Amino acid sequence: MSNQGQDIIMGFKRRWQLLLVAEVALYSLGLALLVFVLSNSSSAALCCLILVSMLLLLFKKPWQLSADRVSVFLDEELTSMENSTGLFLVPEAQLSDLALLQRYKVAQALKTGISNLKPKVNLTRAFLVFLALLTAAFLLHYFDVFENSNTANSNPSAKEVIVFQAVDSVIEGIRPPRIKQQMLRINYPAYTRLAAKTTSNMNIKALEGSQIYWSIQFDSPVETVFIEKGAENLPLKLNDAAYLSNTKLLASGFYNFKFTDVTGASYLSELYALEVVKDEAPKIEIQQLKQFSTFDITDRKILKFNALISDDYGISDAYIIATVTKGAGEAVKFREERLSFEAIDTGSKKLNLHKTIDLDALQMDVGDELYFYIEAHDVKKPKANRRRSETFFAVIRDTVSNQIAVEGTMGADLMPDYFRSQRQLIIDTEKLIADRNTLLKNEFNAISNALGYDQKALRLKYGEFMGDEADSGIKVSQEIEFIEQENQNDENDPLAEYTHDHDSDNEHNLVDHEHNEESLPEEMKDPLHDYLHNHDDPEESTLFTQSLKSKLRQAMTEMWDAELQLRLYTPEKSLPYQYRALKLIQEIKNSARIYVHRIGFDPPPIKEEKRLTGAIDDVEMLQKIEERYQGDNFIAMRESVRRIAEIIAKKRAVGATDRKLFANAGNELAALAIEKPASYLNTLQGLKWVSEKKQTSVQQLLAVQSGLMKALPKIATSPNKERMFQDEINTLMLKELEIND
Amino acid sequence: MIDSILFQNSNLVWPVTLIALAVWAVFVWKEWSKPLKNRFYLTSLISLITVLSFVMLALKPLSENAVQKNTAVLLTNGFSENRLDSLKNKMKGIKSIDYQKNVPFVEALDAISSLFVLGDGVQSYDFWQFKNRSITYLGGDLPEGIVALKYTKESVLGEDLIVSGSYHKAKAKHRLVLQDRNGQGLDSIVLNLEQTQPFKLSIALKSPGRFVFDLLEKDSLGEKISSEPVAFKVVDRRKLKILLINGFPTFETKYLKNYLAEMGHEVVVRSQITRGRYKFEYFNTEKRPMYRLGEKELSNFDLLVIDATSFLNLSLANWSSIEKSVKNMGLGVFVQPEPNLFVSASERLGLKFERDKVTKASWSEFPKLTLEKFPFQFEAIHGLEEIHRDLKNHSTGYKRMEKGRVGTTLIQNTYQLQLNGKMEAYRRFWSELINRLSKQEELTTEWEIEDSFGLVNQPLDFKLRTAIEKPEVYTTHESQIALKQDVDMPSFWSGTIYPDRQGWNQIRLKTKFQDSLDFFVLDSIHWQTLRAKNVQKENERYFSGTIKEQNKTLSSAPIPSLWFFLLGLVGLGYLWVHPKLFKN
Repeated sequence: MSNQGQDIIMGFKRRWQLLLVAEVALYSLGLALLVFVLSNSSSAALCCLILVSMLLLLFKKPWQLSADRVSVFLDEELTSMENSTGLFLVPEAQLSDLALLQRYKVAQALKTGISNLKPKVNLTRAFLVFLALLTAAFLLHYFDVFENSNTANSNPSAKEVIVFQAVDSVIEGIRPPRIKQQMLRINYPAYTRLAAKTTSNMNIKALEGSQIYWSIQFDSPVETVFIEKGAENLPLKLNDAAYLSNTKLLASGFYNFKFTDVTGASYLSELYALEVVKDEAPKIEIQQLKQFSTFDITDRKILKFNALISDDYGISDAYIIATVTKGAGEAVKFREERLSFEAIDTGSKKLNLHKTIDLDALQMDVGDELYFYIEAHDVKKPKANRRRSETFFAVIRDTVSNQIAVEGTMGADLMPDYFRSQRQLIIDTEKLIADRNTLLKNEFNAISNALGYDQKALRLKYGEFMGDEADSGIKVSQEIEFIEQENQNDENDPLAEYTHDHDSDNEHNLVDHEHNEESLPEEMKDPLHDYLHNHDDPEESTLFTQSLKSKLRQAMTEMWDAELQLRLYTPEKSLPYQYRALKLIQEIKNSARIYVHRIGFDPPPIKEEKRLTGAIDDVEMLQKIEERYQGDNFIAMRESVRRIAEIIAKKRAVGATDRKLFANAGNELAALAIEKPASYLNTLQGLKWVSEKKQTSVQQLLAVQSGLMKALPKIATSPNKERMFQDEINTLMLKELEIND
Repeated sequence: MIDSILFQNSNLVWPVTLIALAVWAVFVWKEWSKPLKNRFYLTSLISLITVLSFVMLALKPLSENAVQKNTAVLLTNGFSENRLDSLKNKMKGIKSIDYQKNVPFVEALDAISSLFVLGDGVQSYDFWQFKNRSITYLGGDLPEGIVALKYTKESVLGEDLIVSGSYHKAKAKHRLVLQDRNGQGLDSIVLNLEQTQPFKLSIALKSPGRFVFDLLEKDSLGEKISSEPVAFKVVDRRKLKILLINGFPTFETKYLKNYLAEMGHEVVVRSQITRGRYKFEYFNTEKRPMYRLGEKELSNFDLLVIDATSFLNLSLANWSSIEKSVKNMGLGVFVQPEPNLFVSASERLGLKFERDKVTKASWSEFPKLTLEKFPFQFEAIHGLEEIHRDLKNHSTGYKRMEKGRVGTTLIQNTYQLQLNGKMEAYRRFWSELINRLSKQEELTTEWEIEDSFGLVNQPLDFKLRTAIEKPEVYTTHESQIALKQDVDMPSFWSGTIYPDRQGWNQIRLKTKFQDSLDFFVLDSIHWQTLRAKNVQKENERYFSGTIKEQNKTLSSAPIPSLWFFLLGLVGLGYLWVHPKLFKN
């Protein structure tokens, strides 16, 4: 019983200690993470972790937490304990009976109370601090706040030091000169307004036209120093203990340093990349504008848009080139205008420009079109980069040309319904059927009857083509005449348009309408009288072939039936006849179309003997010599591969001629490597070594060979002269075969 | 039958027989004089048997059933213990001999009547020891690994090196990787669990020289299991001299001449402008007008490409000089096809055609490609050889004319391949065609190595064909190698070398041409599986040829004399007991 109470207290003490340690761990972990992000080094973070946790542990001293302290705490927290927790820590034998009784009494209270009790450790605060530190670390890392803090450091880190290797084997005891300080300054072109960059990293990646300055200091005197760049050598001049050189960055490539010390031994550095970044042309994005906009003449003809222009170093100018076209076909005329934006902040990297183009201000009329694009220049010197946006279109819709056609189809408003086409009749009939419920009976009948009349008029119209007599009781023509007289002032006879546009599109192919219409009002004569050669036989007096004629007759029969049904006030029944009539009329129209067969020119074959049988004295022989073979661009590379195989197989040493060959191969490879520096740089480096150094290992040579083989382009398949041994037996056999064949 | 009985002491036959007869006569006489005459015949017979037994003891007859006792088994590399055990079970007392390469053991073999060979077998250079012997080749198990390998030992620049072969009992996800000596992987294939699976690896050859690459087997984790060298030689391309004769310009010719000229070949094009007037184009060569096609003019060229109309209309004089150039100098002639060529059935071409109405052709090398074709096919005449192949038929063919070749194709408008961007197909088409038809450069010597793997200090046979009267072959150490001339063919020589170092070796002819042969010598640890397989094949071939006639003559072991002794003892016993039993 007594032990139980003591156990509970000891357990509570352990929990307390554990929480204290956890608190320390949270604080120190959070801090270490932050340090890791700031310093980017794991060792610093580890140091911080250990240091902070040590300090905090010393401060918190979880090991000093005594049972007495816990009992005091419990007494304070649990009133039910009646300040008697200490009793549990005293051995039973030392307690008086009263004390034992009290202990027994509070044991139960301790058991129930302890479970709700927490040690006096603020773990929540520790956790919150940890979270805050974590977030800070993440944010710092995410936004790369400390990324560029080290760039201006001229003390090279271990990786960046130029490592020189002796070309010859170095004499024992002489310490080769070492680099004391190396520096590379990149002066960007003035227009970029970028500050010069100083670095110890010899790999250059800079804007085209930048000025590069090298400065190298050695710890002991050296004879000469120069930069090897492709085939050219750039000497470094001694100035104030440092060797200096500069060049303008124009093309990508590779370079390396080489120096000779006072003893005449030469040393070679690794290859460094020289990468030229091109200044990019501005980017143009046009917002809130459709590629193609159309306006009606009555609209407010205004184009409104935003142009977003951006460039990597700054925009110098931006404007709109607009072209207005007037007229159509051969009469089209162009007018070009340059529209400017209101205010351009020259030199800024991003521009958001608004522009409103008023088409009226451009004096655009109906049917005119506007094409425009935006052109932007950047600040690059001497020659700026330019870029054009896509072209946008705006059109003021020309509705006039359409209007005539519309009027033609809407002739019903202006003209009597006589010459409704079959199609229109069908539409009207269908409409009538649909409206049946809303119409009074006599209204319905009247419309149906009227439609029947129209059907008759149409039939008679077609009848004319058949050579039927036009005066078949209904004075359709007269009414037409009346209308025509009304519209006489119109130059374009709407009736003519009407009759042309519909059922008989091809009528102008068949009938001279101008003539027809002119003559109609005067004489009321048969419109076809000019074409009818045989008046005696109406069957012969048609313009159609026999099959067409029968078709037309069929169509007219259908029209008859349609008319009949309409007159009987049963438009439903008339519809099938009307459809059949329409179909027949369409067929007639199509069959009467004229197709012209295209004929090509097939010249007759000329016999060789007949060809140019005339005097050929002036025909001269032609002789043309051409050296088409471009030669192999990689001859030194191929030869190097072969030579390395030989050197390895025969265990030879690399000679002077070999070194020259490898140097040539290096130049050939450099041309390839500019495009893909990453894949060939090692090989190029290797070639450099084997072409300069006196001693080379087999492994080095193999690596160079392998790299060269990988870099060499595949050779195109080509025929090859094959070789073969011929002896008498073969020849004899071939002869024998020939004889027996 | 009697005379076929042999005795070990055949020199004693007569004296022993005489003595035996005398002894038997004494027996017979002794029996005759006795009163017990009723058993005379039986006793005489028994005495005869007894005497004969002793004769046999003296003469030692040989019997055939002794053959089994002189059987042996030759244990070669890779033999299976199980097979040896079952062999020993079947044939009690079978001797086993361990095989040692290149060590004579003729004497040991002489004591053996029949021999079983277990394991991969004996090396081919040891075959002579087994000539005319009774040998059963039982073979060994097919080893795991690469059991077949094929690649071109000498390729031309621009070709692909194709390493193909088959792998026996591969493990799953193992890979074969072809890589250069720097460890740069060039091509690889993943093996599956098939029992014996083929593989094919290829790399583009980009530089001339002698190379050694490695064929690696790697496990699924990329760990190297084995590495075997693949040695090959790449030689530079040799330029061709091509003459193109056209009656009128065509697209086909235009594209062909451009292609050949860009590849650096010497091309002369003669197109007719009108009668007697030509347009000459010289690519990569100097001006050299060709008005007549004489033998002398043609001798400069390796291939004549001529359109069908010009070919058919060649004057007799021109044709006869072309024919002579083809027959005697090996000039190639390619006739550019036109429908009239197929219809004309010209004797000049030597090929015959028949209509087939098919206007599309495929090409076995580029199965996805469709080529345009004239609606004709080659008639299967004697001597027709193919260059390109449709799925079933030849689409390009030629016929030999002594040294040269004359051919044509059924394919038309190949330039459209170029227009369609299928440059590789176009190049392959014409390269193959021109390679096969063109004049071949005559070699003064041709080397041939029989064994694909030379090993250090092991004999390697080579063959040499040369027009040189008395060729002398030297190694790099300037030691001369003895050559053996063929009895029937004086230009055919053979010899054996014992290469003394690994890697590339060279032997050369001592002539002004400095003809030499490069060959690669392996360490004996390389290509073991493949070599074992090759040895197996050679042994199967060799031992399936040996006849087992020798069985009988080899069966000559004496019958154990114990039997005769016992028989004689019994006979003597009877003769001794018999008078005592029948005294009265």
